[in-house]
Amino acid sequence: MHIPDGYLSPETCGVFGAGMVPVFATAGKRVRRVVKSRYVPLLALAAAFSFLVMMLNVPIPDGTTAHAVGAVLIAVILGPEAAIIAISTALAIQALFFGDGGVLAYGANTFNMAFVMTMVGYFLVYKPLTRNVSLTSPRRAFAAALGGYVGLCAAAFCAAIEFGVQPELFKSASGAPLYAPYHLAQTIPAMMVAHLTVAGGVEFALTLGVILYLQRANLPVLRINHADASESDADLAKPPTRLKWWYALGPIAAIALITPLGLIYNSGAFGEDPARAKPVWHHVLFSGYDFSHDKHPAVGYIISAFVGAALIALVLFGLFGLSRLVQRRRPPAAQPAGPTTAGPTTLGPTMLAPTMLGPTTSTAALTADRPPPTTISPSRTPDWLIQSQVGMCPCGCIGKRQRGSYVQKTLSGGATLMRQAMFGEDVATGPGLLQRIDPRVKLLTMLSVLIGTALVRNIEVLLSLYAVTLVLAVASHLKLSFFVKRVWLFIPVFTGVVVLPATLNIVTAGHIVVPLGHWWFGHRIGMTSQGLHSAALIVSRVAVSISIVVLLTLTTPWAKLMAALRAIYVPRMFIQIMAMAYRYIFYLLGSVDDMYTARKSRMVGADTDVKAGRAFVAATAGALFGKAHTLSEEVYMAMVSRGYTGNAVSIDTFQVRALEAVWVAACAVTIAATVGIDRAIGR
Amino acid sequence: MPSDAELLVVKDLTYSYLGRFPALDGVSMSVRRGEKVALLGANGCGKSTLLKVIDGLVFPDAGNYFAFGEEVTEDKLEDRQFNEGFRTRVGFIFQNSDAQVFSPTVREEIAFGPLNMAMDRRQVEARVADTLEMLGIAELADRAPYQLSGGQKKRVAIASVLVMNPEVLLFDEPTAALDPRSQQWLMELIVELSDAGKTIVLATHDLGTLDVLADRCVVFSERHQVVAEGPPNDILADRDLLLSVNLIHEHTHLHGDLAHHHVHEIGHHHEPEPLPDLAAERTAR
Repeated sequence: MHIPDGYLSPETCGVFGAGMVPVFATAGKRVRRVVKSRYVPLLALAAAFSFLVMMLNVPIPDGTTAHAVGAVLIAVILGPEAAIIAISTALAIQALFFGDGGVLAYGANTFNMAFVMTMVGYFLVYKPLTRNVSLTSPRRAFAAALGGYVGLCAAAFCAAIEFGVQPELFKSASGAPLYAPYHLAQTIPAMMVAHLTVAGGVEFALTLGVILYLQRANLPVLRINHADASESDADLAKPPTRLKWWYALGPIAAIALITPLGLIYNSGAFGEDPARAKPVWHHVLFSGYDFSHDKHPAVGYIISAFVGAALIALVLFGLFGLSRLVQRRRPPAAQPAGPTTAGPTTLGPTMLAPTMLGPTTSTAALTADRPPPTTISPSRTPDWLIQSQVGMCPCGCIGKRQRGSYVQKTLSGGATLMRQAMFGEDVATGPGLLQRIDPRVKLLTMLSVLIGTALVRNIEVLLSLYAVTLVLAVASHLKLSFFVKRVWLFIPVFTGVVVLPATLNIVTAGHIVVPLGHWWFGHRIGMTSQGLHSAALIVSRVAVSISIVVLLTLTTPWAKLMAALRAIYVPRMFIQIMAMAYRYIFYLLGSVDDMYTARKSRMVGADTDVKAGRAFVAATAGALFGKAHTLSEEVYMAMVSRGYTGNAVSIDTFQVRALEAVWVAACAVTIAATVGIDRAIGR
Repeated sequence: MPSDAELLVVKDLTYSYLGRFPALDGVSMSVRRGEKVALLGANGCGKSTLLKVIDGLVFPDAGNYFAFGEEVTEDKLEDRQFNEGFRTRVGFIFQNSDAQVFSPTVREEIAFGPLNMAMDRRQVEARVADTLEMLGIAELADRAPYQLSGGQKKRVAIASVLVMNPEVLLFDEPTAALDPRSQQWLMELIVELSDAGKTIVLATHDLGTLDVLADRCVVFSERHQVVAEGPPNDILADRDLLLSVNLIHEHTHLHGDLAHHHVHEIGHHHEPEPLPDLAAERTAR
């Protein structure tokens, strides 16, 4: 869901950026008051955690990716204000250091993932569902998970709207879109399908896993934000109110009532043109969401919406009932495991009996203090290791690769991340033009050039700007091949794949220059000149934007970048959290790697059902959070031990010399020239 | 009530984690000025917790703690002046260096303490430079702590505490997870600091280094109580005591056809060569 630079118009970015300033200010102030200084390391950990979670992503064809965020989870643990700060921190690290999500689009990204997601998931879902629910109740965990799911979908919806309005609001004289090319009718389904299914599911499992883990293993962490919630159901004076089915009616009715919004777009949804469709199913109840032959389209739409919603509700309540049945069968959650509870689980080796395992005595000892199936204890004895030797297939032909691939992907991503960071630091401290410029000055000028780039509407101008970035890279002793690869291999190729469909006449109407045949229900299909032009425009703009950010981050050591942010009045607390989060990312990556390796050895031959795969993500996340919390406590103590009382102080000093003055002047001239020439060429 | 020579005094300390897992159960002991005290015990016996109490990081459920003649409580540490005074006088080197080095660069890491003490910038920079030089890590100054090796991280952690020039130094498992050369270096440093008049309290279960690192040992049982106190040689000689607190274990060896039982102890099996010399040197001094 990270919106890169070049997809949104500078006006849109400006609106969101300005809109987020009061949000950050309020959240920061409240965090300072509500979250004590002792939770600052925990906040940094939350940011690092969210960073890692966001690395598990899948691209979707409208210019962005689907992934979980963890905002509601953090909101439940540390409070909503803290969640906004933590997610914004993670996004800042990604934008500044890893080129994921734009720097100019930072306002929009934080609006979606930090603000909307937290507000919707926490205040609209989690809070109402957990009134009078004890701290250890599984319902609390489920409410949090549901909050995460709904919040993520709301965030995705906002991103879809932000993309979708671009071609309506910003187009060239000939009608070709200047920024993101897809219309609302395309962005909303694309974003929502991906988030309602994959990403939402991951978010749900993740939130559920961590909260369940904390309920069992580390209740004090949950207490941070729930000071007065009762600990167990027994403490509650009255029994918790059951989730009444009619509670769901409110939101459903609200959504149904706003459905006529869909009528505003008279062009029809993507690929749903009734004139072209050849229906195979003729027994629809309300054809085209209507039953009065278009006399009262709005009324027909609303009634269709209600009937549709009712049908969906029926299915959902059926599922809800089923899940309750399953829940009732489960043993009470918080009970400690006795030796006898090491009963048959889907993964357990106990059914496979002593004959296959080593000496029976040691096995008994190992399985004796085994936790119940869903509990995740970091100190769990790897008793499956013994069995895995028996079942191990040396050629790796068991065919379980795909299941782990999700995790594997993140881990290899982690390795790349570390390499990048290490290499980045080496170059950043080396000699070169950009390395010598004061980081504060560099940050501000690069930001201005970035805004200038966003204003450009001609490919020729963008290409010359790109040439300038290449010259700067050479002047800064960056290996040109590395720099180009870093920019092109990583993001714009991905962008290219994503905008490719936009060149087709089914998305961007216009003159077909590259005919591709008659695939679309007998209609001609091909690339249009307008489509190709806007695709080239967006790809080159993204490439220039990323080049600028990469130049900045490759030539500035992380610590200096933080100091520069501090110098331009980014609040101390935010920077402190960011600096710590950055460090924790590496620590947590190491932990994930360890845990994954340790766990993988126990998963051989037992990893047969989907549930186990999902459980692993949740379980790892839970255990990771536990580990991370222990570390954060230690870090806090180490800070207090050296006199920390909540104020961060730094030793950095800056100097501004002639070089900086020349650089600023050069940047100003470049920006004025590009925008001036661009407007002179017109189009 | 504690006498002047007794720098740190703990009385009947009781502490349990999360209100459930006991870590200290009625512990009383004291540390005199300039002394080297080793807290001995098996893993999980409560010695790390005691160090945390002594550093004013956790506060006991029951019992009292006096440092420099004043009682240390959570409320008192809220007071800015008391906090500053206490924090500059007591330094804590954690077992897990990863937790202790959290700043973006080594230089900032070392400057963290003095800056929090509201020390003058120029003075801080000079001190940081001296400390870097003293510990031989000047060339690491602009590196990020996460890029360092375990031994280097330990040096940075120690530097970040020494820069504040504390009177009392608390070490939690100082030699754990260090290679033999770094271990040797650290032991020599601790001895050097002690000679310079610092008071040293360290938690350890490394019996091999005791005669160098401690003037006095306090032995903890696995029931979180103090069971013995005395000079290292007396404690090391008391095999039954060490066996009972699980610091050593009975071991069966085969020598040819002969099977024999003997008490196995880490220090005796691979004791570093220079150790006795160093100890002798010190006593001679």
